[in-house]
Amino acid sequence: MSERRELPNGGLQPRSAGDARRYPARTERCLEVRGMLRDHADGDLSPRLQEQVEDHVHQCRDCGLALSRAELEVLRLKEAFADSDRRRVAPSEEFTAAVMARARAELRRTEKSQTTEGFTSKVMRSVKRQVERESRRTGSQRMEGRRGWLRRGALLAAAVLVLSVALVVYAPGGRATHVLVVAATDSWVVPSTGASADPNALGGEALKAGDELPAKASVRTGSVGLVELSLPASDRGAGSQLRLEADSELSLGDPNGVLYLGHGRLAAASGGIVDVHLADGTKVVLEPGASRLEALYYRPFDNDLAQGPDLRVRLVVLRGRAQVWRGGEGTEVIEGRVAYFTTRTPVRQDRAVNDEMLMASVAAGDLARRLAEAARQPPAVEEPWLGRLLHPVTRQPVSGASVWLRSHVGAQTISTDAQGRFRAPDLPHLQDQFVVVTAGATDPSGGSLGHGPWVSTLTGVVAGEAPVELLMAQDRRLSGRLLDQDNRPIPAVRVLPVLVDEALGLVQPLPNLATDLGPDGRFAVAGLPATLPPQVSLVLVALCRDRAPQICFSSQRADGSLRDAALRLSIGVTDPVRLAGLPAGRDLEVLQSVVGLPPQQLFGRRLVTSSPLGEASLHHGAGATLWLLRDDQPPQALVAGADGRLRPRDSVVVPPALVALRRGHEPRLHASAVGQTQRFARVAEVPIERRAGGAGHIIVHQAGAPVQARSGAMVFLSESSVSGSGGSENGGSGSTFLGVYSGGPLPFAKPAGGYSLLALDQGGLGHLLVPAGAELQRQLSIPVQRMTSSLLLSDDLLNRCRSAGGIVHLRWQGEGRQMFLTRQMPLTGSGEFRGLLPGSYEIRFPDGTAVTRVVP
Amino acid sequence: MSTPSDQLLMLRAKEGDTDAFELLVERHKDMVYAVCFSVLRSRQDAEEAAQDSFLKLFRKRDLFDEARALEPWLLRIAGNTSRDMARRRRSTTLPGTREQHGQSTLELLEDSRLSRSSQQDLTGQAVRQEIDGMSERIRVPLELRYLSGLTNVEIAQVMGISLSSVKQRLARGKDLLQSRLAGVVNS
Repeated sequence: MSERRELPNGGLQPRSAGDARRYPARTERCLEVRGMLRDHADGDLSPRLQEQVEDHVHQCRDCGLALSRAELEVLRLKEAFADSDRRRVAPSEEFTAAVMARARAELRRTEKSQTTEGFTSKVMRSVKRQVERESRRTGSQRMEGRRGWLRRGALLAAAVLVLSVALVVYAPGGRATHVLVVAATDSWVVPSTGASADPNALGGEALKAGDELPAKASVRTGSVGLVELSLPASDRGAGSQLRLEADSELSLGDPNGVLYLGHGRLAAASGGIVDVHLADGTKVVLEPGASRLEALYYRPFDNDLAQGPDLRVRLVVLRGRAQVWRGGEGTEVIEGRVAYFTTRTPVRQDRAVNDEMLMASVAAGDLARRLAEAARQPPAVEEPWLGRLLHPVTRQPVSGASVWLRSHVGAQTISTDAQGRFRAPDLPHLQDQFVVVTAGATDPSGGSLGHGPWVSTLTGVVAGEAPVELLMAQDRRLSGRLLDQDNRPIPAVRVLPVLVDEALGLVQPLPNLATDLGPDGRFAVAGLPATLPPQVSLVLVALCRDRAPQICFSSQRADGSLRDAALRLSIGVTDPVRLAGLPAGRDLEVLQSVVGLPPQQLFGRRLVTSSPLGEASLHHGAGATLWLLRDDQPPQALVAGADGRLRPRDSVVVPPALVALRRGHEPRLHASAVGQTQRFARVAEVPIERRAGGAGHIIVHQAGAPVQARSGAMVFLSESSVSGSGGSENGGSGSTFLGVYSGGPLPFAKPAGGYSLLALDQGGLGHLLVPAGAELQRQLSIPVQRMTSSLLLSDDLLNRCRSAGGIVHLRWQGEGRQMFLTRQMPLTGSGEFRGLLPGSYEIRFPDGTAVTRVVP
Repeated sequence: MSTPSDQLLMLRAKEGDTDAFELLVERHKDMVYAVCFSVLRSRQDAEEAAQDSFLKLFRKRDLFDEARALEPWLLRIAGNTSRDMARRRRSTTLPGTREQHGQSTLELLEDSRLSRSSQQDLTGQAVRQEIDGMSERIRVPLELRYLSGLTNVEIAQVMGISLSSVKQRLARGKDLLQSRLAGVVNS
């Protein structure tokens, strides 16, 4: 398919609004041509149209200018990207290997499933043959239609049989008997039910008992899940007990009202009675006739739980896992999980639902059978609160572990007993959290452990849904592993612990404890505070190189306020101070921000941006300068040391840089000597007199073609006919830095008076061409001299230089002009300044003394 | 020896020749990755989306029509995959965080005077910043056209929009760029 336009009548296309203003079309033909200029500049026109356009622009000056502008646009865009980092963006070296590994795995899976299908087909063929034989034996005189019916029925029965067998055979072994709760896949998404009054309508489709939760069911922030359990009264005998516990808010709902349960428990106790234990200790007894349990997450608006024989309660779990426990001495913990979904489907619009939910229905399989088994055992003693800690892999009880509980009555540690059980002296409150702590664990890989059932403390959100395994040992270490959703280690992440006092709104990063992730995604943060005040929580922030920082762990609930707090980790907000950051060794890059700390409090802090580029974008290398700009005070410089910490500029040796300060303007980094010695010289000034109020662009050409990027060659617009430019830190120059030669256009606002264009180059020869334009049509030619002279210092001067840290300031005078240079003399070597212009140099030392030397 | 065409390689991949598919991956990975990066603006996400794109191609290889070119199809897959992922990322990213390339949260609180001042230095970097600040519907076509070198037709395939929409968005992007630069120049 060709996109070249072929418009016999010349085509009438919408033209650029900008062009229309600048170069008004004079004729109908102009209008037609204007509509094609951009396509022409992009090379998208057919040769015939291209010729037509060119014929016209040779006759029409305004259209010619408009075409120039269109070409300039394209040039600007191409050149903007030509020098871009994005050019270097490429897939990783392992990309092909990774794709092929996945493709080959896919191929193997496909072949395997084809094998399975072959088996099924084989069975079906065998059944079919058998049916045919049977039908032949029972008499070929039967009507053909009836035989067909029989055949179909037999086939159907066989298919059901095969499917049932397949379920048994292919159900993942071992754990299948422990998993009661069945979760869903995406196909279980329940569409909007509008204002349906039937809670069942929310339930979705239930899988069969014994089906396992998909392994990839993962926790997503802000998602909800739904557990539905069927509890037929006939299967509940004396002594049976069902207890549901969830990581986060639970609530109960029924068609007549909603009860907010908060962190609570739901228990089906002996005699078929369903007990609901609320967080505040209240116990609600549901009628024995209840056949289903349902709970909906709602905002609390009604504490009356309407009771009735057909009461149904639906349980929704927000963030976390739901567990079905069968409590009691020595009994096994039955665990299930719910799937988590997100949706924009509002549920039950007739109620105050703040969260958008998506439902998955979960059946409770052989729960009834297990309850019946439990019924034959003596009822368990009801504890105020009881949990049991099992190893997530081996399912063995973890004894001697500690549970760090931060409750509304204070922080405490509870040990697990030989059966892995632990109990709290009081019922947890809605706001309580706990973190499970293992005792003396040394290998994080061995014991990932996790979190208590009521705590939404672990939110693996680094990759959107990355699981995080955490292990907090008693030696004040918090270790774990960050994995992406495919369980691969997340590379290039740094973990920064932060203390957050939500009550006071204080955020205290602990940069000394920050740690990098190992290649396998593991990290260990040591030296954490042994105890935390109740209102203070510990947050781990993962700093990924290509992502915004995210909380990967919080001992608080990961709500919005916490996230906000973490995102302004570096700096809070009260008393705005503007910052302009000049990264060391980089061309002009301005960081702008509003920070809320007085300048003196910035000293010693490590500047961390929440840029997706993380710290790399600003602070690498010593000498990054941060300018504090306040209207009522002169700019104040802070310098980042090698460790990234900010210090007053005077306290560190700063690599020399040329920074121009102009009143009312931001500081400009004109050159930095980090990494290399810069050679700059202002060698030409071309005064241009123009009408006031004009504006234009400069394009640098060489031999008729745009100059390729020439690093370091800078162009200034000077508002006075002769003035210092490229100034020093203490010399306002009145010059405006237009930009660095990169072959691209350099737009500028022309001041009212006369002005000069100044070129600073690192040697070489360049010409400035002012292209066709309404205001600037004169060609300027600015020769740039090479700076090849050198100045050899005497031993005495060399020693003085080195005693001053090697930094000296040079003032060049020649041809009625002057130039300031700052150089760093290597601490070893011959003591020669290279790359100078001939002329007289005044060498100024930090102690204020100066000597003059002439460079021939 | 002449290089085997995409069609031939796909034909061989259909027959289970993974080496042929590997050649295809190697041949097109840069383009696919560039498309994914333009949409997602994160190396990690782009890598993932690009891998997923090739995997989808592999899964659907039997549907490939050898009479047609592979590249448009692959571009469309890459576009769809990365846009799907972008949607997912938007729904799972914490509020208040930005994944935009090079844009920090702190920068969101930008001071107007600083902003103006920085715009005066309209080097290529500044132009790129302007483009970065544009909405995805405008930015992606600009990048695909002038960074990745795709034609308008290819851009339409990647973005799942019509050719005329591509042209409109490119023109809109250029207009925006012009007006912003003009605003600086005239200020």
